[in-house]
Amino acid sequence: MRYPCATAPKPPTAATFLTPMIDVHNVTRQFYSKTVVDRISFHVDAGEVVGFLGPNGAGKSTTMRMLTGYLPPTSGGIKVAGHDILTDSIAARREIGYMPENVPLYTDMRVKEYLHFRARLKGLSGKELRIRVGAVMDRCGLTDVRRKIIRTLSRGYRQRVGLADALVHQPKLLILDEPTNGLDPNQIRQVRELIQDLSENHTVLLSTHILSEVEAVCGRVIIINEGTIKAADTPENLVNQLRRAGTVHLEIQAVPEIAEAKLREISVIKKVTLECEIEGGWKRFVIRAESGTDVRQKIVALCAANGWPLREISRLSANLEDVFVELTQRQI
Amino acid sequence: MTAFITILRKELRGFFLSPVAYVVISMMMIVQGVSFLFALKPLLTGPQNMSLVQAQFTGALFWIPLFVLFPLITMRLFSEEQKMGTLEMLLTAPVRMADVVLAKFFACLIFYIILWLPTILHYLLLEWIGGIEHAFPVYALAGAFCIIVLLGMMNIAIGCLASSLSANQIVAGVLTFALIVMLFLLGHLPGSSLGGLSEIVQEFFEHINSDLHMQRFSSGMVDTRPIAYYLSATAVLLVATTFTLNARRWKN
Ligand SMILES: Nc1ncnc2c1ncn2[C@@H]1O[C@H](COP(=O)(O)OP(=O)(O)OP(=O)(O)O)[C@@H](O)[C@H]1O
Ligand SMILES: [Mg+2]
Repeated sequence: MRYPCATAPKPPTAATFLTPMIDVHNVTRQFYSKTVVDRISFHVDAGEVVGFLGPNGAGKSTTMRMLTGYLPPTSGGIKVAGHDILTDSIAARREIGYMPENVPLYTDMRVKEYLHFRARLKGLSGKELRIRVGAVMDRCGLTDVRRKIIRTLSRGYRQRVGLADALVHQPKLLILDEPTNGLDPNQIRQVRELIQDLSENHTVLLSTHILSEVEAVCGRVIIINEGTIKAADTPENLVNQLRRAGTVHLEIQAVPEIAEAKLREISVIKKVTLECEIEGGWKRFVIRAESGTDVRQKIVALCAANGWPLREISRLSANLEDVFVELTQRQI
Repeated sequence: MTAFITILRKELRGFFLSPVAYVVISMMMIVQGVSFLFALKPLLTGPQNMSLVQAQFTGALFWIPLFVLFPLITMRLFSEEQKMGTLEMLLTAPVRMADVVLAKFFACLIFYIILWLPTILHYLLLEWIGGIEHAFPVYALAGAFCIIVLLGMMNIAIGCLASSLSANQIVAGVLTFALIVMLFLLGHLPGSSLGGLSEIVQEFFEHINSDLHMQRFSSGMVDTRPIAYYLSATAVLLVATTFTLNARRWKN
């Protein structure tokens, strides 16, 4: 999967740096009376790799369909590489390589035939077309199945065909809707590496439910829930913001009831639970504190004041999953 | 233009690679052979008041296979795209909806015209093998083919519209069949027992009577009004197809 491009991508011009690659302004999408995407605005700069996260039904695919000009927004404006997606649709679409969610393909065509068809639709011809199709088949590991009828391919291979199609015309912008959905761990790694390779000269917007993938490849994430954007920042920043809300694990020797009562007296602590008793008289507590506070020093001081032996105090480090859960779970 | 030609080529290949195509081709070859024989036969007994061409292209043997043919060749066109979701791939490439509709329409039309080639061969054979000069009026044959093509355009456009309305091929096919038969029967209303129609209504029904057009053209009487009728109906139907497809992808 890691062959070099056959033809070198065009060098970026000044304009690529000035206009954002994707510029979404106050976009709303309704299906009948149901609002699926609600006044979202964001932009993606040239060269970025952005992860688009959200629970099922959040509106990720709908947003991506609007970005690629397949669905018009109910209101609001979208520009891709400086072209308005509605009024200058063809020019905008030329810049995009899109892989839709379930990778719809003409299943009665052969792999190579299909890629030739797609490349020609996207304006390639002659020698350039053959070179590009060969290059993307190499890159996506399709060379061995190029004569197979798409219907007979496994899901993972169809996914690769979709990816090869998205890459074939060397678009500036790649929009990939769950590119690793349905792949085995090896293939997931290959696709991840491919995206990392591509990020050197493409802008990428990808949606996924695999958060480790986002941490590995994305410089920035946008989290969407119920049609509105909940956060847009680097994974590190999001995690750091959440870390201060942390959960603390504590192991001391004390009478559980007394220790619990005294710990609760610290004002920012919301919840203290005895997790388990360990032999030797050690008690393990899980303490949840309010966001934006670090209670470890106060707890240590409390233990010292009461003479409780302390052998562990640790704060759970948050990860992107915690951020995701915090921002998108339904409040009950 | 590239997009149009690319899709046209892909669709044409699709036609010749599908098993349905060969069923349709064999069906049409048999039908044409039989109707040619049936048209020839009376001539053995003596002169007839209809030319060979007219006899072949005006009976039930001409019309009934057509009612079946159009649904068969058009029902797949847009239904399948909608069912498989492949329009999303097509229309996120730099391709216009009009390119897609026109390319599919013309691919179907070309296939349809190819289906009629055996008949031309029959007439040529009649001259070559039969050794008969002027066995048939060439202008009449040209006229008949003119209607065959024009009628084909309109009916294929009807099929396009029907298949844009449903993701289910069978529904699209049945709808096409119903619309084509209905249109044919409407043209015959004035001739039926329903008398007392006003003159304008009479004229309207005559205007859409394909059977009448065929009778006239296949006797060499070429008229521009039917040509305008078929071409404009085709255009309207194709525009409607484009609108339907857009509306269905935008709303759904
Ligand atoms: N064509 C449509 N008609 C009506 N409702 C739709 C349509 N397409 C999407 N929706 C609704 O819009 C909402 C968002 O759907 P969308 O496919 O964008 O979610 P998603 O974030 O991609 O989810 P997933 O992670 O499951 O792919 C869902 O509630 C869905 O039911
Ligand atoms: Mg989705």
